[in-house]
Amino acid sequence: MIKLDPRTKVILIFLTVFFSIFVPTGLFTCAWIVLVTVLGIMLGRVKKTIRAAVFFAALWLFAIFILPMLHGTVHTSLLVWLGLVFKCYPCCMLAGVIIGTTQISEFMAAMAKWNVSRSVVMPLAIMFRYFPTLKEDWGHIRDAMSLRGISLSPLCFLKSPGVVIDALYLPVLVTASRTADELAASAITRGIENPNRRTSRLDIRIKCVDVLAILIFFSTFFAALIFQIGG
Amino acid sequence: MNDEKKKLNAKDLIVTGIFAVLLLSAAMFGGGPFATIPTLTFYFPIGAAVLAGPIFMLFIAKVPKYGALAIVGVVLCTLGTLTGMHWGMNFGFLICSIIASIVSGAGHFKKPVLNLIAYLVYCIGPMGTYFVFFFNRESWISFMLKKGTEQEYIDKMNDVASGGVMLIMVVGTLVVASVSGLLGLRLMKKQFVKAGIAA
Repeated sequence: MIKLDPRTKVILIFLTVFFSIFVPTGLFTCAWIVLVTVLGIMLGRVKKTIRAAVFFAALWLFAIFILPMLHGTVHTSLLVWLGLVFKCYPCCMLAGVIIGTTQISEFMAAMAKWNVSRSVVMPLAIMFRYFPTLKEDWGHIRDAMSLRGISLSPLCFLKSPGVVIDALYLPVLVTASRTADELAASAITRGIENPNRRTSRLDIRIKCVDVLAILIFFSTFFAALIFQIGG
Repeated sequence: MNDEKKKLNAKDLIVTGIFAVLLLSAAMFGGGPFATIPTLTFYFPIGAAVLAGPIFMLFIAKVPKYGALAIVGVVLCTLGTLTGMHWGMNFGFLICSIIASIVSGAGHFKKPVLNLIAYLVYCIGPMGTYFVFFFNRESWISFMLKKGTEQEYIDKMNDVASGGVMLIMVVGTLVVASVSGLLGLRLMKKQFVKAGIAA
């Protein structure tokens, strides 16, 4: 188990984004996925990271062994789709690891150290916080809808579009705006509008581990680039 | 409106964060099925435009200030970059959100027609990635050829991604977005204003 500075994590993500842009899909994508998997396990997010890695391996094997056997439109469209997936996968996986292992207060404190504008950090922090809540609310709303015999199936929609639309949007939007008001009230009470510099009890510094992680990722990126130009 | 009212305060930022989640989920629910079916991936912007209309309208009504939509753009752009979306989509989001903010602001965020146009502009955002894709096709193809793809692939590719598809994508998105936006306006008038949550 290691702990990384949130700023290091952001740097790693940017490295991954550059990697996706400049290095074409190939063996180095696999190497990168291995790196991300090791990082995720070291950060203490074992199960989900391994699941994501296995899924990637399955897709990769599919692309190598099964895809050449297909022909025609299926082949083409799968190829296009897999190309996009392989491009996005490292970033998505790393983002998942990082969002899962970073606490919001940590994130806010680190961003305050970087002097990132509060008007960007706050919505972002709220988003991470609100995604699970939305999922929960959505479950409740769906239960309530099925209790009244309304489902999201096309059949039900065709029978009474007005009811379905009202039943879909109103509760979601009303709960969302109520949550927003409540969150705002609690955040303002805790002094989020304080114009002074944000202070934090958390110890957030770039340590040896952070430097090491950045070095490993960066050298892999560099090696991939050199290999790309040389080969 | 005086100056103090125009600046975004903490409450506005929190509302912005929550509505950014809603807008994003609406895009994912509506567009997700398109994005996962390979041949339909070009119609993703249409799907993304289906659900978001009412959310967009309520958001404008709740935070009627210039910066709010731009911040949604910045946040979605950041999030897109973090998850490795194509940069065309991210900057499309950013630019279109800012333009939408200006359009809607021209009517002090109260004119339904301008809000509708703003929504249309907003919906064009996700198309950025496909514009880049169409533009950048040569490099894509040459890379695929290096990997050992047959010439036949390129022909198929041109079939799938022809100019007609792009036209359908743009027009379809605009049509769907206006329907969704109108629905949003209707819901606003019929429900949200009466319920008092649009204040």
